[in-house]
Amino acid sequence: MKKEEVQEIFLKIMKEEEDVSAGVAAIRTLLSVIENYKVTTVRELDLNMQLAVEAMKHCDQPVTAISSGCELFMRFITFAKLDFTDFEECEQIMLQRGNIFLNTLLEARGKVAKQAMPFITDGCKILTHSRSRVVLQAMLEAAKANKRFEVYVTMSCPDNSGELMHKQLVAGGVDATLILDSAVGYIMEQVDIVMIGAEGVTESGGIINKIGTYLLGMAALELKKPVYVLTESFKFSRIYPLDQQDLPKEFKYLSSVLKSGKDLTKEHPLVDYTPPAYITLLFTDLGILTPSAVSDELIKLYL
Amino acid sequence: MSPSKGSGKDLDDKFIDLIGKFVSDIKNGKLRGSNNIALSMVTLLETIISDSQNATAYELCTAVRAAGRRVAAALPHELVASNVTRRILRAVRDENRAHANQVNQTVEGSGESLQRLVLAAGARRATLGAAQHDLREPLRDHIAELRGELESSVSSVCGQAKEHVHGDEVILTYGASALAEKFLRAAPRTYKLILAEGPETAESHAMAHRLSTAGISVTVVSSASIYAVMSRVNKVVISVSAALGGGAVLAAAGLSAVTQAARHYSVPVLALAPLYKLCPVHATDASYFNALAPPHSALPYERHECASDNVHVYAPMYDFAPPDHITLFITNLGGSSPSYMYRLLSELYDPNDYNL
Repeated sequence: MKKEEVQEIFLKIMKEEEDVSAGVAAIRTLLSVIENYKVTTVRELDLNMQLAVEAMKHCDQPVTAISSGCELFMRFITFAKLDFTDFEECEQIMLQRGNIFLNTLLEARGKVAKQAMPFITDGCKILTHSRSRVVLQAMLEAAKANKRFEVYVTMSCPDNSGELMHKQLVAGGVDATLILDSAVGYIMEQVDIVMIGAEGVTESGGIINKIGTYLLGMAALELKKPVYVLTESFKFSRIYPLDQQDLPKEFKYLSSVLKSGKDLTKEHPLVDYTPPAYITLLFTDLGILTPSAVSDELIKLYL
Repeated sequence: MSPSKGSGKDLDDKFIDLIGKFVSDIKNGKLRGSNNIALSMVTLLETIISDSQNATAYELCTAVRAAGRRVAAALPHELVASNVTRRILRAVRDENRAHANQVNQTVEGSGESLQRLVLAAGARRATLGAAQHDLREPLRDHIAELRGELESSVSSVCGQAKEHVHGDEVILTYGASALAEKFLRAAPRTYKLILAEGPETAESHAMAHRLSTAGISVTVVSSASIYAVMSRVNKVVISVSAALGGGAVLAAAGLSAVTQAARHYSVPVLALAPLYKLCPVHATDASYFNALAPPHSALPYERHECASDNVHVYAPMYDFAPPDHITLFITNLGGSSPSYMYRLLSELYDPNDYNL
């Protein structure tokens, strides 16, 4: 198995399917690795998986969701392979259960959007940051249910992903306004709730998200606006950062930047860490959680 | 088939009459106090369960749920009744699971979790399987247990008074509440109590009188002076109408002013919330649960001449305090912080029953 081949599968999914988040794409890649590269022992399979995970982390894509998705999948493999003595049988079962696993993940976004629905009330103004597929879906569903609300979307430098979010909201019939990143403080007094997505959720219940989220959270706390995070549970990851410096640098910079050997302090970080104190509730496919419930879920899984 | 799809039609006429009587008793004020309402609701649901023609899990869930819905529709502010319904539904589900002896017993608890996801066990749907056991007998134990818990909940909350209220402290409470009164009586009598008048002034005065005859030093202040006295207060003790998911509370109107003043002076706020007041709903906004009371507490009837056509008088019944205003919830099981409420909720109810 070659590194390039894995990267190719992964990038193909990412490119062809706009709607798939990086975590799910990573898990699908791992499943296709099991399917296509036949091995005869569990040890080989493990090595293959580790190689594939490493390969995907060097694809020049944001790594946060890939890493948590892969970790969850590895956990899944660990649970599955204990059950059988015959490897052939084990592999079949693993693939079959892998697909069930994947389908549950794909249902997650719809569940999250449904949880968020009662919080989008008629006449409310929502501020969101950057582009999040799950926030987009929640808002589009609320618009479809004939709720009348306004959305402010930040432009979100450096990749201006907010522009795409804005375009998709407007196309879905939502009253959306694009604002500058620096206008967050200006607009905050007018909004009722802040609704954001996340690239990863840490064990403390904080989130790792597009750069600028921390500032948004601070502004919201200062003006006492609730901050709701919409996220799928496969983004929960077992890291416990205390400050921005604790975030792994693979999360903060693209692999091309890391490889180039530039001075990282002079580069723009892509994500920041928002501590749990700034988050009111997390809407996940496991239910509506307070930030402290995240560690509970993770402990149940990794105990 | 999912019981959540069942319509309200699944109830017999005799049960509908019983529910009607229960609702009218509450509306007429014959049945008062959340504990009494909870106990009567248990009795009502017990009658429905024992008189049902078929006692399979599906039938029972449908009947109990239909009854719960009817009561909730008639009395949207008696959250306690819905909580009891959820508890009984949980008992039915547990019994059914014990009988069916399902394969995915390895995953503890109910509802969705990361562990279930990873084991690819598939979420347990709301369906109750084809099990045809008669669940009446085992449910009787569950109901007796629930009733026992409800009856002892006040005393177990009050039993913790000694841990929280100490001698020579200044305690502030707001309005009249049977639970707060019992709690304050259970504490050692050497503390000083400041009682802020609630919306029902006369009842607050009566409570102050009863407490002072019991040997407690009581000072009554008007609700307007809460902020002024707060700097001298050591602890605020309040009784809540409902503890909501996420740790927010719903309580008598005017409570928000108390908790905000307490927060400003960093005074700890103890919220007395027996388990039956824990409600697995989230307040989407502060006006979500509110209802308007007769406005005579704001403007007495005899002063009606003040109310010309341009004057609107409102007296909301409830107030909403966010989780960061509460320091500690005191339940039957002990103290728990607002961020821990989700855990208690997931232990008490099945996530499928959060929406009745």
